Amino acid sequence: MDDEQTLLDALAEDLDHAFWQLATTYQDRLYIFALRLTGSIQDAEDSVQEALLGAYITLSHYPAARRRTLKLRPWLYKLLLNVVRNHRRHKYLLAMPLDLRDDGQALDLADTHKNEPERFFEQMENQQEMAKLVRTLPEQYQIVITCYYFEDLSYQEISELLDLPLGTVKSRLHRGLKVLHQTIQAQNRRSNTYGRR
Amino acid sequence: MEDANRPEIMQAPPSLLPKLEARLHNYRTYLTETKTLQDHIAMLQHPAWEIRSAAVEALGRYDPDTALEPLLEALSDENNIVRLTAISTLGHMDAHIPVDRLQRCLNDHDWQVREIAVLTLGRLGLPQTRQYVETARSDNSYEVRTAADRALQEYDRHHHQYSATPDETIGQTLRRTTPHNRTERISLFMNGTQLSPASTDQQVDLNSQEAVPALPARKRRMPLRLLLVAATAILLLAVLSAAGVEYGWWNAAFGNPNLYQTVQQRQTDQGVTVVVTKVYADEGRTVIAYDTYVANHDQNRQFFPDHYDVQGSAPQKQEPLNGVFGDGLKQGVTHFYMVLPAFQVPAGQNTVTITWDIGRMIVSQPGKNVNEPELEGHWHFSFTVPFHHTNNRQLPDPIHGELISH
Repeated sequence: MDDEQTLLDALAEDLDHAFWQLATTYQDRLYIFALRLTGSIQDAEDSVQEALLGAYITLSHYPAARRRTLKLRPWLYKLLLNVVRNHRRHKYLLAMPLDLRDDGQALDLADTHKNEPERFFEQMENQQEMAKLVRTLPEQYQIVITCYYFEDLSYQEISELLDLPLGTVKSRLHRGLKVLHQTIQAQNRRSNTYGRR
Repeated sequence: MEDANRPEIMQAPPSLLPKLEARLHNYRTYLTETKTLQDHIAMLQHPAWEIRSAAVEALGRYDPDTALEPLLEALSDENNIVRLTAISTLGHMDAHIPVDRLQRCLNDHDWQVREIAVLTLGRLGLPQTRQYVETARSDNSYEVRTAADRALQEYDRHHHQYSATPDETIGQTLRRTTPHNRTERISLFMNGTQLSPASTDQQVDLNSQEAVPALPARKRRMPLRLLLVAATAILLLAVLSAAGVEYGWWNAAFGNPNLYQTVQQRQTDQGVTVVVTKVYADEGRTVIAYDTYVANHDQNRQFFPDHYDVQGSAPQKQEPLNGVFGDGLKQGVTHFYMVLPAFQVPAGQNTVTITWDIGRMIVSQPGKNVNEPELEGHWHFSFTVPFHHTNNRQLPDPIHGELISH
């Protein structure tokens, strides 16, 4: 924490010099976060580069008082998320469904809380396999799950990062895990079917 | 095999920082190079956004009469950093500041752009823009809200400066500080807009008290008559609801008066009505039942709150117990209930006040794979309900009376 405040003070006083320290300190964390979201080394590297360059220029327009009070990690994550989202929109022109509407917004009176997907997630031994599956989810679920389970961010931190109310963060996490669980079940069924052939 | 699954990847590639350094070098070098105005304008079309951003910054050093137009165009650049650079640069153009354009940037879809717009308006401290910055206090973005709070402090600081010289009008203070742009500055205050020839056409007597509008009043008193009308309307609605008119019958039919508290609060926005019908709160969960419908009771569309926030008078447990459950569309109405984590109400208190703010609705056509546009709006509810100091695991759901299981 003290280190972060020292860095913030340095950014407020001498941006050009202190920015390099910021980039060196956060490059690995940002890169791994970007890699989890994009699944591609090249896209992750490009995204982090764009985010850090954007951070420098934005900081140069901030008053010194604003630089001193930044919460660096969530702020940088937020810049990076912006870049990744814009990159996706431009590169892939994704026609991603906003929600699994046919799934009825969890309109499932019959499907209550029996499956407990959170527990299921925690029990998964192969985290990398799980990360791969998470990337198949719609963006809104993918990001929340990545932040909560891989980046260990709290609900409050995710809420501030994504500019979503706490209730929405929780419901997206819950729904996302549910969809993930259904995906895994479907995958298992498919592999069992192929196995019998 | 996807890159992210390769086990050796735990750190950034060595090429990342050198590439960043090269781009940063290009950006900084551009700012120190000697170029003509036309060069900078041409560079606003450069494929690299950092070069466009540097060109915008460089344009800020030129005479506003020639640099203003290209800078205004840069406010529409596809890249958010270029747009925010343009805002920051325009904010330093003294009397040529296009206040109306800066205000419009408060609606930019990108939070970074909105944040810089708020900070810039705060730094300028013009009275006629204060209301817009106040609106930004309820922005979706945490950063923008924080910037708005900071900007309002700047406004107060400016206001105190003016108040420090009570024998002078604000116009006189301005005249003293910016003698060459007096007419323009007053016109800026009057019109709240860019100093175009049209706006300067308005001649103002700078010595009169009317030269500068008074600071906006903070509060307006609601006329007594309006209060009486509102109170009568609320009373009438309460009587109608109690009598079971409209959707009150649903509560009466399925509600359990011993468990669920009837609320019957309704809010309509974007043509969609949300009715909070009943609520239950205990130490294990909070259940809110609600209906959604539109005025014509459209049989083909359902409305789901998607972007919402629930707050209580007591802290809420941090647990992922959360679900929204609903019935099918019946006569144009969808009945829902949502299960939320419990509020931690102290033993001595028997009620909890809950506020629920919905910011967005998803529209769905049952059985059809059609994505309709989401509806942005604001449906606000606030209600106080009994809090049960128990953990009722046998709670029936408020729609069909079946057991809610967690």
